[in-house]
Amino acid sequence: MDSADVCPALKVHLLPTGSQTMSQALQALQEEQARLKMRLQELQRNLRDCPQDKVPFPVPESPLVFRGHFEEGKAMAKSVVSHVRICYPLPGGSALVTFDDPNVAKQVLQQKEHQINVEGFRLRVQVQPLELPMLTTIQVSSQMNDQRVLVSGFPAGLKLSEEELLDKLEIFFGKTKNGGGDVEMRELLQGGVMLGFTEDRVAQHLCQMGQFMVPLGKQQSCLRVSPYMSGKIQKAEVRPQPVPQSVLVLNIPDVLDGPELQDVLEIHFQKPTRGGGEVEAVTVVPPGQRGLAVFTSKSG
Amino acid sequence: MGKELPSSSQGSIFPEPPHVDQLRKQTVDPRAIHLKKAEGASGQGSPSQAPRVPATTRAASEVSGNLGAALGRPRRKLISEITKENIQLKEEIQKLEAELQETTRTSQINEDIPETKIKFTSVENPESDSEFSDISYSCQVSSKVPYELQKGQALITFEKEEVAQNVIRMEYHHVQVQNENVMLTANPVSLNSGVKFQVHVGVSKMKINVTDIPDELPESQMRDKLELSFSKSRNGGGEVEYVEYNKQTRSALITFVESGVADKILKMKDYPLYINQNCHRVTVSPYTETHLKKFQVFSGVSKRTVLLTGLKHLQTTDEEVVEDFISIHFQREKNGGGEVEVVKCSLGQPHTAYFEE
Repeated sequence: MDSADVCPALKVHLLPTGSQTMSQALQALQEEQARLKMRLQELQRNLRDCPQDKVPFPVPESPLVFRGHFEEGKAMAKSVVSHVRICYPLPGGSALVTFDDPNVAKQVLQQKEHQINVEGFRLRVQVQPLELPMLTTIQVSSQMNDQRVLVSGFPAGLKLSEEELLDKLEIFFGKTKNGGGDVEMRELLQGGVMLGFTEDRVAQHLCQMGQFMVPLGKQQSCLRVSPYMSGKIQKAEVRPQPVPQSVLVLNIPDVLDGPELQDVLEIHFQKPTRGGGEVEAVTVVPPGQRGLAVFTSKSG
Repeated sequence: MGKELPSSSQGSIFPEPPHVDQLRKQTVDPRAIHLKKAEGASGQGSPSQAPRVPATTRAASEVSGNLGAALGRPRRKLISEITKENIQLKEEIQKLEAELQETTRTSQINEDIPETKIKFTSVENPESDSEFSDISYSCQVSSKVPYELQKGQALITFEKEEVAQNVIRMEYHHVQVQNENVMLTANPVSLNSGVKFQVHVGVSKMKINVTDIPDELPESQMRDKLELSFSKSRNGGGEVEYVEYNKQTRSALITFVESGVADKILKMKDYPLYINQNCHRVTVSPYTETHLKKFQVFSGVSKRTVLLTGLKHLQTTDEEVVEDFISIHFQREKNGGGEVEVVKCSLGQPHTAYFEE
């Protein structure tokens, strides 16, 4: 074999000076091969572990049902978005009025300022439409997380609160004598607990060990530790969406107390002569106080 | 709770890498790692999951295995052989690295969310200041796991789990479909994995992003100009708490003292910034923070939906007709069935069915 066939980086070793250099060259090559093989195995492992269609390590089960949704042709990744919940801060001296009919709300909003008659004096307030931020696009990718593990296999009927369980796990897996290390984060998931460690090798080591007897309350439970895949947001777009049935009332003067103000507003906004209509709800936040208005999606 | 790993010759998920010494003895066969995958694949495993055995490692194992006998071989020849192998290994590594990049992309959630109707539900007391400074949005996202329904197969969802389990236990069912009598086989549905997580978004009521700021002044001066312009209530501004300015990206983050100022400003697309005698319009946008919580991969398990096979050679080609007959048959308790929610079959062409929570 010609030295020209050889990898350029090694040319320097192949001067035929003596068996000493040859030995060294051979050893260097063999070491390189070992490194390359390690890297190859690591890649093969990663590819295999990658969330293709079935992950080869234990993950919690989730019961699913076919409800009739289908499509022609190729399987496309799809997801369901549910349980939308929005918390909107209401400042002191404001109110949220929700009408049955969105057209009534539209009518009310035609006047920016409303004058509310109360027993001889007038309250001047401003009305505004309400817009809430809604997620319109979400892109999330998953990848193996070298610093985190999933702990599973909890016995049914475990009488521990979330906090107690997380504490016990953090204590156990925080000890090097158990094979663990410094716990950086912890999260309760459906069917398991995710633990994140500050050092990479701790997670790997725990996965290798696989099973642990962990004291959870009165008895010891056999728990399993497996690799954890974490998600990363690639894109998230939020756009304002109007709430057609609700109207914000602002700058309410500090003249009446809570319950009275609520009645007064309800009466005013129900009057058809004022462009009002059937009021579903009135939420009042008196001056000096704060409130959080909660909105949820109708189906979830 | 968790799925059991398929049994294999290897004990752990992360096998020990071979040491240099081992190369001199019997080689560690990388194919052993793939045994787990081959054994574990069943049902819906995609065909592309065949074990990958790079051609080079076979050659490598042959060489290493012969190393004992190679003492007699000229070292130079050995060196060049190993060098060649290393080059091949490097190529293989490059290929897998590229493949890995491609694969991680396929396990994504990519969703355009249609408008969801939201309604006022209740009022709460904010627990802390931070709750009050943001409008917070949260939702749950969960994969719909696809299932390829092949020609001649049908899916049937029962209202009760026990009925589904019973139908599976009985295994063979003689069903009348129009004029034909077919034997259908009932089996559980093997599902792939999916992901689920929560998305939390905080839209600040006190901060705004400012972009397209002209790069005309030194940093400290520009910061002052920003503070001055954004404090002018006649332009919609308000008292400024803090200005973070990045001269390089020509952007800034303005924090106001009072919440509500941000909303007002954001109603406009841009805002006047006064620099000496000139007025520049700078772009304003909301300051949002988005993060994921409770992210987890789950393995889909079908408890109420059953797979029926045996419809391949049916004369009837109308899927709806067949579905009706199947539904009628399995509604009857005497046939081992019960209340049926949904039936879907594939006759002329495959369909993709979606399983959800």
